[in-house]
Amino acid sequence: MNPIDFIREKFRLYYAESVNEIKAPTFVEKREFGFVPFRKEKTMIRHRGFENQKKLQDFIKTFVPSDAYYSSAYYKNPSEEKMAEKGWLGADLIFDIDCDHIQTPCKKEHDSWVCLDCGEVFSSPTKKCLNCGSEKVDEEKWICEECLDAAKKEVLKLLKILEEDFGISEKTVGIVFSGHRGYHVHVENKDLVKLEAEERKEITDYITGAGLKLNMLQNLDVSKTGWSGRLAKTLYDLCLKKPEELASIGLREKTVKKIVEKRSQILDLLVFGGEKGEVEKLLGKTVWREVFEKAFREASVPIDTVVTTDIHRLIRLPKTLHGKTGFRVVPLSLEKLYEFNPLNDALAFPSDEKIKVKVKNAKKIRIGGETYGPYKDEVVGLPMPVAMFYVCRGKATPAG
Amino acid sequence: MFKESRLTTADLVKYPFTVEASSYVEKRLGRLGLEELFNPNYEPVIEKAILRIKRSVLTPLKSIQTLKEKVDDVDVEILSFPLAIIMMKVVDDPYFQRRFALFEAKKASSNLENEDVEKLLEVARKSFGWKIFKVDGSFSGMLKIRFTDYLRNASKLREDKWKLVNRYLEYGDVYVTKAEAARLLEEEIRRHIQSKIDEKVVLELPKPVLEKVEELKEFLRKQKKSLPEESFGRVDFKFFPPCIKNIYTDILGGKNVSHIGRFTLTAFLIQIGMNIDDIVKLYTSATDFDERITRYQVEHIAGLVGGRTRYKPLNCESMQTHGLCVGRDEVCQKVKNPLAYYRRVAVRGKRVKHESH
Ligand SMILES: [Zn+2]
Ligand SMILES: [Zn+2]
Repeated sequence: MNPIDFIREKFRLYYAESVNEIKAPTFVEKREFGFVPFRKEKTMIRHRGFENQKKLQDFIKTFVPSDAYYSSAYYKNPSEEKMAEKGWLGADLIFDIDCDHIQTPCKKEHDSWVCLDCGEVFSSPTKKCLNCGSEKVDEEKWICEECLDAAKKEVLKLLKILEEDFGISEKTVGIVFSGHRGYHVHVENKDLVKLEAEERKEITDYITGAGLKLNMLQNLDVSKTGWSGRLAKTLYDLCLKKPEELASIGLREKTVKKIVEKRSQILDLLVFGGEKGEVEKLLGKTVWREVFEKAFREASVPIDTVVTTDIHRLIRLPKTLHGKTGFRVVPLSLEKLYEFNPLNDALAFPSDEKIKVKVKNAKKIRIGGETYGPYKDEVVGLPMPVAMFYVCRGKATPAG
Repeated sequence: MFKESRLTTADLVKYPFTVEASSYVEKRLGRLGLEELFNPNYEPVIEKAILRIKRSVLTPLKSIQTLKEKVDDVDVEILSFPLAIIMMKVVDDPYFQRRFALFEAKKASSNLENEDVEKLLEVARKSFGWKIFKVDGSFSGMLKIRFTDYLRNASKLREDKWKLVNRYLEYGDVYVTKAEAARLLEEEIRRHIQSKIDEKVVLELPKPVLEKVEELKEFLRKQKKSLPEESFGRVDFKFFPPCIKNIYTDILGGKNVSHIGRFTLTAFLIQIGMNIDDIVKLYTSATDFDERITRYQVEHIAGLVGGRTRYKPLNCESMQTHGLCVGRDEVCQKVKNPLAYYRRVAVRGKRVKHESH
């Protein structure tokens, strides 16, 4: 069976059984929906509108989309094709946190660059094939528990900023596992729906720290909120680390020494509040710059700014399936998020069902607590969620 | 008369856009509303409204702060404001409309800055629904304002200090000084006045008043001659793509435009053949940009100084990234950059003109 038909059939079975779990988003009749069909030509069908949850579920059940989306925006006429006639009424505030934007050591191990002409695989970024010289080199990103965990950590940081700095309580925030590489955070709040793109840009810049001018901040003080407070807290944590820990996060020997030497003075400044720039003076310019860089990265959250500023964005519909993984898009409460491991908890297909697939060339993946692969040109029997993951990623085809 | 408000009648002269001023006008004019003003008794109000508009054009933005206005009759002052707005609708020229809104807003803002803080709070809360409060403790003397109210106005201002990331933000409140709050209010007031002008409600002006407005239009037309728009020559504003049109009218209206926005407008105007002097004049007439620096920048983009590269405006994709794209119309769908848009439409526009002759 060709892989597309295979996946579609599995998705059909999933929706036949679970479509009732799909909840329509709030104000469903004002949202635009988009669906990627199971065809070679994977152009998204947009501008679909539904009056109610039942109609949405019925559509998904019969259409069986590879991927399903809804608009963060509210429209007067969501099914109009032209933006001007849609009548934009407002949009939820949405954040996207994706492994792509986070630097984790595991990427060196599992990301690769593949030459589409000769098939050679490289483990470090390259634009040109080092084997045949072709420029058709494709980046192949993979996932693992480590980078998904890093994404989760960033979500928790984001929720804290939203609460402490923006006064947006975690209780009014929706958290969703995207079904692949990260998380979406939805804020539905009537005071925020009318925010324009450039106002949303200011919010994303605040969260990523873009345009931050240190001399414009208050003095660093752990008791404060805002950037001055958060930088102070991350610096404080940094200074409490042991020398070997400091070295392990990539600080130079000289810098580590300086931090240890000035530790108690810095901690005092951060707790009791000193003059502006006093910590910098204490450490010296070059050491400070290095330390600040670390603290800054820790204090900022690498959200995908385009997702937040796009007020017409389509975003994945919770409880539907992700066409590139076969995982489920999972809505989460904060308590659930702490425990959540996508590679165990977002599986949509029964693990006790086994199936044979022919794998061309695939890296290892840990799903349901077991590690599978790497595989190269072999036929293997795999639990359904693992088989679906490889087939959806285009790494395997159903055998027989 | 206004027990519930801190604003006195003298304040309403300074802040004629407030809800208190509106209800004053309502009470003063009774059932007929503004039509009452066409009664010959109100001749001075009509004259004052025209004067208001003329001043908005003639007063350099820089000297608004030191502007001293003589108040003879509070009624004339307060009533002339809504009438001036109606006249601006009839004038129907986006440049002068923006200019009027900006002038009135700047005037009010500079008054508010020197006012007792309670009055500033009153205007912000009552007329614009701001959540703004005085701060005690270590930030005593400052004000805190809900971040949404802050962003609605500050996101249009380009200096680093207005960026949210450089602000102290605590549980949804941004800390600002009184002067900063007055500056943010200026934006709010400007937008408010602009929206009043843009409202589609039409009030039929009686003939004598219409004649006066015609005279005013003639006066404005003459003013415009000294502005670059008329000296465009073969450059035609109506062929501009929506994004460039937007930046262009922002500049003319004295609004803050980002560096990248000015860059792309300048590059665009150079590419379509507007001359350097006119571009410089465009910037310096409507804003308080320094002429020498502006000229250098324009010449730089034209490739006359510096690296000798003649810069092109951003393409559509970059325009979107920088938030300068204001939505794509039909022609936009067919092009990848603003210049292609202009050429496409200009060619067609000329052809149509030709055919119709
Ligand atoms: Zn190759
Ligand atoms: Zn990883």
